[in-house]
Amino acid sequence: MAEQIYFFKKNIIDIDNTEVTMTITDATATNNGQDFIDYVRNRKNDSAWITTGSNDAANTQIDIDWITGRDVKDIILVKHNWKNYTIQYYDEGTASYTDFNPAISVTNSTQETSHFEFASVETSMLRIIITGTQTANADKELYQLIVTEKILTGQLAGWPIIKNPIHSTNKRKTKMLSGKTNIAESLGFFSCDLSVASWKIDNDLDIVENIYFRREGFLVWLCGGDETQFSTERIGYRKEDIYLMRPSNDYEPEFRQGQYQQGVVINIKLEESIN
Amino acid sequence: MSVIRVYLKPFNENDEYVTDWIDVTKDVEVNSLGSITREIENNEYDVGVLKYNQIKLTLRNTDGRYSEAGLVDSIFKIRRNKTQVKFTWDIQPFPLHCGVVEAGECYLLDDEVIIFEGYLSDLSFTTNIQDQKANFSVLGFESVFKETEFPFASAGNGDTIEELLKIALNQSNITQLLTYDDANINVDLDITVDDVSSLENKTVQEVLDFLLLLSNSTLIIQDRTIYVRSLDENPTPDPAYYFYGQASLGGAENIMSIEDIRTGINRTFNLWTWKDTDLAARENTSIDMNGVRKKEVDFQGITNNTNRQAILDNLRDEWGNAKQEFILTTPMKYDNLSLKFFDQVSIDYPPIFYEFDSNPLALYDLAIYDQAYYPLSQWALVIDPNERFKIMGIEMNIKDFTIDYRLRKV
Repeated sequence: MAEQIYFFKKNIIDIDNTEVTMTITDATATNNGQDFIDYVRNRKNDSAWITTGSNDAANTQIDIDWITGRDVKDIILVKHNWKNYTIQYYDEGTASYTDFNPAISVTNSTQETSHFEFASVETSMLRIIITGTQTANADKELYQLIVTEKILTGQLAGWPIIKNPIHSTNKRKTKMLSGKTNIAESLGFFSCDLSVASWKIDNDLDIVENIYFRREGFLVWLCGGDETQFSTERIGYRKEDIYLMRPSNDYEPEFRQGQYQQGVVINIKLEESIN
Repeated sequence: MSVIRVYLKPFNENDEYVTDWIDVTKDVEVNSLGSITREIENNEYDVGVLKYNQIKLTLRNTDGRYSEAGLVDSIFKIRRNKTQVKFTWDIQPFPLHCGVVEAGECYLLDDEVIIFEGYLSDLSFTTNIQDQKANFSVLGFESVFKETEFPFASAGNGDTIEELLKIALNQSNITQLLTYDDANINVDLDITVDDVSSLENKTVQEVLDFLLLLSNSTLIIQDRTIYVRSLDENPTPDPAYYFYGQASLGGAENIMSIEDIRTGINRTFNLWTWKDTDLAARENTSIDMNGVRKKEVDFQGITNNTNRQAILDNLRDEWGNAKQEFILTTPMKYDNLSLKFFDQVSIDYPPIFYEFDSNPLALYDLAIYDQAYYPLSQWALVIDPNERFKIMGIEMNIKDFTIDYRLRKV
């Protein structure tokens, strides 16, 4: 079923949060990936945490601690190979790990990217236990772990046009003596515009105003978790494409044709951001 | 989101500085503010007094608050020259009050920090009646060294370099603006000066230029306190700050650019001589690699050849080999505003790897030959995070809120 665009707050365990510790426990693996577990929070999908020599019986456990209690309502696992797993949070009241509501206890999953929504909890720790991979006894891998909550209602009710989607590599061109071009490129960033000719949905406009004035990056999920709604699976619209972005233009809420009872003309220019 | 504020501290009727700072931010023409630069004097030789740029400051003077002393509405009572100035930076545009803040919602709770302090110079003051603006130059406090004479009468033959530095710096003209403490004066090589006659009729600035060079030391003004310290140091295991490049996997990207990358040969001197003597100190490996780059010391106040040779050897050890230098630009934040001169930083700028044919980047010890693919890569610049670079210059661009650090490899 088609899904609208999601907006989430910045990942609680983002790489620039220096208070986060992540601990792997795996009795079987020859390398449990502890040295690079931080890759799952570095915003990049070209690096990952992976074990060596693990198997399904190892019950690989990942403990995440970010010290300060924060509200959590959403968890996203980006590009994984887990078949059976549970995720719990630490409840200060009971001093124990507790299920979310609804509980995250997955079996027979074939998903590569998974999004879990649950009743908000305030916590500072998570525990993930992986009891099986989609290929039996394969090494576990995970590209990104996002612990967050939606911005207000989080998901738009409307359907803005996604205009000017650009995957820029910041090309700089110079000419050689032969006339051929030398192109120097950087790692790149993503940008796009969200455009609505007449927007009247209050919840959506509240989200728009929040992202303009929150003065911090936020996560944008263009496919909303459903990449099949597009005729073809392209970069930027895949389930794994979740970008930390900020608006690069100013908020201009002009009523369409100047008529107050019309909707507001909105054109949000979003750019992938470092903060 | 962040804001710059400007404060003045003029003299009162008794020619003493008033107690409280006066906030003049609302009268500041923001376009008049440029960059604030502090760096070790670095013409060809990196030893000397810390230099501040002159900052142009333009104030709206419609109500005459900044007119010359003695006029009715002027805040300046006795004189305007030498009025203290400070610039501060605050990440929040509003003052903070007691209350409740939700974790993760408020950007940062912190006070404004001082990014520059100095004093007004009437030497270049201008104004005109059309726009009624007061145009000032704001000089860094080190400018007082140029305006203060070395107290030659207090010096004597046989004083060491460190003793002469203390005599030069511990004067009321300097200490009314800056904090001085003998304990903060520590040169690298402390040599006896046999003949101080060449220091007569010199400014403190001129004397500092001699003595800091000879002792392989530098002078820094930090938090309005004078420090003299050695240039010689080793890499530290715990850097003061970490910078991460665009392809770094270990931290959030905070390098905007790296420019003016040099090998450091421009500041390499591998043959040191003493004028009118046959004394010399050579760094032969550097000479073989880079050719002779000669520097001559000309100071007749030291006549003992053993001491002269010790100075030449020390300078050769410091400057004999090339050390990479470049300018690193980063967004201005509280944690990097606290960085000081000679703080050592780590820079993680790995090769930029690209997935080959949509295959994930291979990791050694995990990838399997004949299955995984080597990535495509960009190798134009690679900096190992285990190396250390020390800060030799700081330039704050207060319009873009970025900082340029001039770095030199340790």
